[in-house]
Parts: sequence; C-alpha cells; structure tokens
Amino acid sequence: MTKDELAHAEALHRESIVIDASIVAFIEGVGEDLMLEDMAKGGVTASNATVCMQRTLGEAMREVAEVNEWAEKKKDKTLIVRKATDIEKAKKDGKSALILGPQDSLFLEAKTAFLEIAWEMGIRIIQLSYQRSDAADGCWDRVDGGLTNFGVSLVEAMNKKGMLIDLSHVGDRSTMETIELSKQPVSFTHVIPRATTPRDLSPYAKWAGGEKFVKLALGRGRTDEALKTCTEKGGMVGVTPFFAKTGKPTTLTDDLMDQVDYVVNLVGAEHVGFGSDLDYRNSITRGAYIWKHPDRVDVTYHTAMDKSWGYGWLEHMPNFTKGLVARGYSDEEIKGILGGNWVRLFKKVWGA
Amino acid sequence: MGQALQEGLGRVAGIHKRPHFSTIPLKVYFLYRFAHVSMIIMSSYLKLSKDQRDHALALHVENIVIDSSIVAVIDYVAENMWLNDVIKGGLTASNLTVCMQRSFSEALAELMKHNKWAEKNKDRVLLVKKGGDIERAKREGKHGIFYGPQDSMFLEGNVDFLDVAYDHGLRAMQLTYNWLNEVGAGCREKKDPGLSAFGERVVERMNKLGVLIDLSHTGDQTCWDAIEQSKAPVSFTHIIPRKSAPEKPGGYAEWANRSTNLWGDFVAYSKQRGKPDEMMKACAEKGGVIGVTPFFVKKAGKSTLTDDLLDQLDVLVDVVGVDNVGFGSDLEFPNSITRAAFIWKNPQRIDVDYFTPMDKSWGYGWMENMPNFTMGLVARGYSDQEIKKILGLNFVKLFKRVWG
Repeated sequence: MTKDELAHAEALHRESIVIDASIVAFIEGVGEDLMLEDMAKGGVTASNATVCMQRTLGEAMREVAEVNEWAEKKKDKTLIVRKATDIEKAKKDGKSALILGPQDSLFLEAKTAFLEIAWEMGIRIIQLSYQRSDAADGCWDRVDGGLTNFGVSLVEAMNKKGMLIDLSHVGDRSTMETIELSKQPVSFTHVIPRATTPRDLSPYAKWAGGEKFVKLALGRGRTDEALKTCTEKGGMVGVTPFFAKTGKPTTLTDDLMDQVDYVVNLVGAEHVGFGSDLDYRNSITRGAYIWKHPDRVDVTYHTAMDKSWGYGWLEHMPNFTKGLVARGYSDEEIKGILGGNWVRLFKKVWGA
Repeated sequence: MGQALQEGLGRVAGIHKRPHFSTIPLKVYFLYRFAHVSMIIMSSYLKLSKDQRDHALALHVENIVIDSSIVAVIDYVAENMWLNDVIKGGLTASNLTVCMQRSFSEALAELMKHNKWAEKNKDRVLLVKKGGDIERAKREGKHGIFYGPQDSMFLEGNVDFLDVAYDHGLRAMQLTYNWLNEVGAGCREKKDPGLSAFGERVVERMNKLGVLIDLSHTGDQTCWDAIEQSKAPVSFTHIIPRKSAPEKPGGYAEWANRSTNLWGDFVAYSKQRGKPDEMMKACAEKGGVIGVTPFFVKKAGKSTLTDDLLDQLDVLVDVVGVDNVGFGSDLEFPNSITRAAFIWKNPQRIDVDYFTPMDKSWGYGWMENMPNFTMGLVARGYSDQEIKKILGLNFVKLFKRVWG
C-alpha cells in the first residue's frame, strides 16, 4: 500500500463505527481495564460479548448483573448496548461498548418466559446452541436432528421480543430450519465458509490439536447455502479470523481477507461484518505466558502475537481496514463491513 | 510456666516473646536469649550469609511445603503455568479454591474439570485424598492438590451434597466467604448471628466425612460456634492476627482502594479478616492450624514483603505456638496472570502498586520465590525442626487427624 492509501485506511477506520460481533469479555479488576484499553486502541466501537454460558438462569443473571455493575462504574469508558442507537452514541462519545450475547441457550432452562428477564438484564443476541444440543443441535453433534420443540418456541419468542438469533455454532439442519422459521433476519456472528476453511495446518492448528482441529473447524464452517439463505432474508455474516489461518507463510490479515473476499462474492458486501471470536481470558493468559516465556512470542497459540494482526488483541484491528483498502473495497463497502451493516441489522431486529 | 511469668520473660526478651519457651528450662531460655541478640541483628532474610542461605534452600527442597489456600489456573492456553510455578517454588501440596458457585451442578462440574486435568497431568499431579498422599507426592516429586471451597453456598442448603463433593476430592471447606450465607456470617457482615441450624448440620457432616473446617473468612461469632461445636480440629488457612494488621499498609492497599472495589477499604478489610488472639488460641488448643498469609502483611515503606510476612508469623507463633502455624498464600493465580499480562503490555508498571507482584523479594502473585519464606524463617532464628513444622508438617499432621 502507498503512504496515502495507508493514511486513508487509518482515517476510515477512525471515522467508522467498528463492530466486533463476537468476543469473550474480561471485566475483572486487577487488569486495570486491559480489555477496554485494547478495544479503544483498536478503534472498536462495540463488541458482542459472550456471557451466560452457565446452565442455570440464576448463575447466568448474576454474571450479567456483575457486567452491568462494572459498566456503570466504568461509564466514562464503556456502556452496555440496549438499543442500536447506543452504538452510535458510543462512537460519538468515544466509548467502547458491549452488546451482551450468550453463545448458548441452556441458561434459559428450557423456559422461553425467561427471555423476558434476559432482555431486561440487557441480553440482545442469543446463539441457539453451542457445540452440543439443547434448543438446536450443535455443529459438533453426531446427529443433527434439527430444532427441538423448545428450539422452535425459542425462535418464535426471540422474534417476538426482537432479539437477534445467532447461528454461528449451530448444526447445519438446525441452521436451515431456523433461517426458514425465523420472521426476523438472523446472523452468523463469527464464522467462515466451510468451502474455504483451511484444510492444511497452521501453527496454531498444530498447537491446538492438528487434524482434529481441522475437523472441528470444518464443523464450524458454514455451507454456502446457509450463508446465502441467511443473507437473502436480510441476515449478516461476521467473518472470523479464528479459523482463517492457513499453513502458508502468509499473514493472518491476508488469510482473513481471502475469507472476506469469498463471502462478499457469495452474499454481497452489505451482508458482511466481522466477528473476532476472541476470548480475552485466553489473550490475557497467553500474554502472561509470553511475559514469562518471551521466546514463545511468535509461535503456536493463535499466532496471538503475529504483528500483522495480533490475534488475541484488537489493538491491531486497523490492519483489517488496511486489508479491505488493499483488496480494493470502496469506502462505502468498508464502512458497512466494519460496522454499518451490523448496526442496520440491529436496528431492524431490536427495533431501535 | 504461668502466663504472668511468661509475659515477664517476654518483657525481658524484648519484642520477640515466644510462648513455647514455657516448655523449656530457664537456662535453655537464656541460651536462646543469647542467640536472640544475633537474631535481631539478622532479622531480614536478606542478611543471611551464603551458608545460611544454602542451608535454608536445602531445608526448603527437602521438606514438605504446603500452601493451604490458593486459586489455581488449569486452563489449556496457560500450558500449565500455574503447575510450573508451584513446582518451581518447591510446593508439595496446595489447597485449591473451587466451587464458589451457588449452584451445585456448576460447582461439581468445576471439581470434575480439575480432576480430569489432574488425571491428564498425573506424571506431575496427584489428587490428595488422605494425609499420607502428601508424603507420597513429596516422595514421587509430584504436586498434590486437594479442594477447599471458600464458601458453602454451592451446597444449596443440602448437607448430602457434601458427600458427593467429598467423593470428588473435597477435603476442606470454608463455612462462609465474606458474607452471610445459610451456614453463618462472613467477616464483613455487621451482624453475625452465629452458626445456623443448617450450619450445625454442615459442621456435623464435615466432621463425619472428615472434611477440614476452614474459618478464614468467617465472622467472629460463627467462628466461635464452629470451634466449639466441631468434634475435629478446625483451621484458619490464610489469615493474620487482627492485632498486628498493618495500620499503614503498603502500595498495594492504596492501589486496591483506588483501582478495584473488590475489598472496599483495604485496612478495614484486613482487620475483619484478621482474627483475635483468643480465637486463634482456642483453635490451636483443639489441635487446629493457622496459616499466615502474605495477602495483608505489606507495610508502608521499604520493607520487603517477606520480612513483613515474617513479622506476622512471629506474632502468630507468639500467640499460638510453633506447632500450630503454617502458610496459606491466598494467591489468586487468575489475578497473577492478568497482572502479568498487564505488565507485559505496560512494562513501566512492573514494580508498582498491585501486590508488588514482581517484588523480587517475594514475587507475590507467583510461588516461584517461595524459598524466600524459608530463608526468612532461618533469618528469624527458627530451628530446623520448627521450620519443617511451619512449612508443612503441622498441616500434614492436622490433615491426617481430620481426614484419617
């Protein structure tokens, strides 16, 4: 890229609403706001934070209460998004906002009535299932039996409430059934297409389990059909770097751009976004590990410290925008992919 | 020797009155008194000669060293950073805080996750089920772990759940954390109604099963009730004496007051967590062991954390005797890791505020510098036999008695 192009990309990144559609947040005290600093440094306006992975409503709501309490205390730096315009407000005020989005529905204890409580507490997105079955079969289940009775009720109840459905980890059949059943657009907040899921082993894949990792990655990859059907109904696809790294000596940013290109080509740029699938707890653990073992900085774990991307931390997020500029996307398309497309979907589903 | 005479001797001896003098003849006492002079000159572990240092390190390596309160990290991304740290620090066994949930199934899932991890790492980890397992861990060069929740809320008001948790490795349990629960009151409550009817049943069941009752965070009245009602010895795994809680604490307290609301006012909290002499004595008289924790000990000024810790230990030994004390780091490894990541990102912050976690004298937050504790014990003039007891034997004796 030329110096002008770089400056343009940086300016674009700064001006735009930037949304990360899937992270696991880290809000505890002794880190002195490591996560918020990182989001701010990376120019991230809002992240959809995974919460409520428990199996009981009480434990899950206790966690959300803690997050809300934390956000209230840190209100000069953050806010919990309750309506789509809160994201625009966060951008204007220079804050890093969190959207609360469980990656499982087990915490509802098979009672759709509890959605009301979840909504009241600030939950705005729910993934129907994680890897294993509950409301719907998960992407790693042996048999994909489709939506359960509870799953059907949940989709209907979420539609009614205006909560966004996430299908990132859901099994193929359940995914297709949900897209068909849902009256609202649905989303994949953090996926890559199965067709382009790398079959070769990146250093991270080797570290994380080798061939087994590829098998899991393929399970998480979405079929072209699912991506197309979802977006035809107005839904969104958040492209994730988690599975994007190939075995080639490429940068993670370039590998990620290859995935973005494929998805844009398939569903159109207006339906594409970004979802890091970053788990800050792991980033922090790995950061400490590298502090103790500086020699391990560039190897294995997620190429966490790959300077082109710095997966594990969002501070290098402007590289994503640079990549988009380098791949020839227009300013309008880039603004959409960075966050505009997500905001549009949130407005439609949440109703404000 | 009567208490008055003991106190008199204490005055003669100056600041380091030690009650176990009462068990030794006077002439030995004066011999000790002579040694005591050099002890005052050399009270800091930093002033040890090379020989003494080597002796301390040898003692540390040879002996069973127990940390009676720690929160571990067994996450795969950490590549056993916690395990490496405790092994590097020469720790033989740790009491792991788990089951802090309010739901039994969530708590049990956590226990099972730890057991699975222990099984996977069985070349280096041993799940301790009886006192003898700690000696086995030492012999086999492994790190022994057992589970000691710092709260009892995961029981959901059902004593039978204790049996299930016991089957999965539970060997100690705090009756309460800082707050009121169904068993009794924590040390931060304004009112402490004492042990509830349910609490009495919990104590009874813990006695029956052989689970060590830990009262570190428990409120005074509930502590007294538990000490009185328990048939087995009880323990404060990680406390300091209330009377010696630093009035002017170090940078960490300031940092904590400024940066987190985890503990409210740190000085007030340290006093609530500290225990009065009479209570510690009552615990010791029943055969209990009291673990001194570095968590609250740092004073303002240039002292090292190790020396500050040794000051508290001296007071504790003074109150309950050398046979009833041990060590409990109260280290929360998730915090250590978070802070290390913070320092990795902000290297200029390495030596300030948070626990001085990177204080080379102790490295609180990491156990790798644990041998400094043993050096400190040598510097304070404790005998080899006393040091062995403090490092681990007192706790092993207690565990054998309680666990069978």
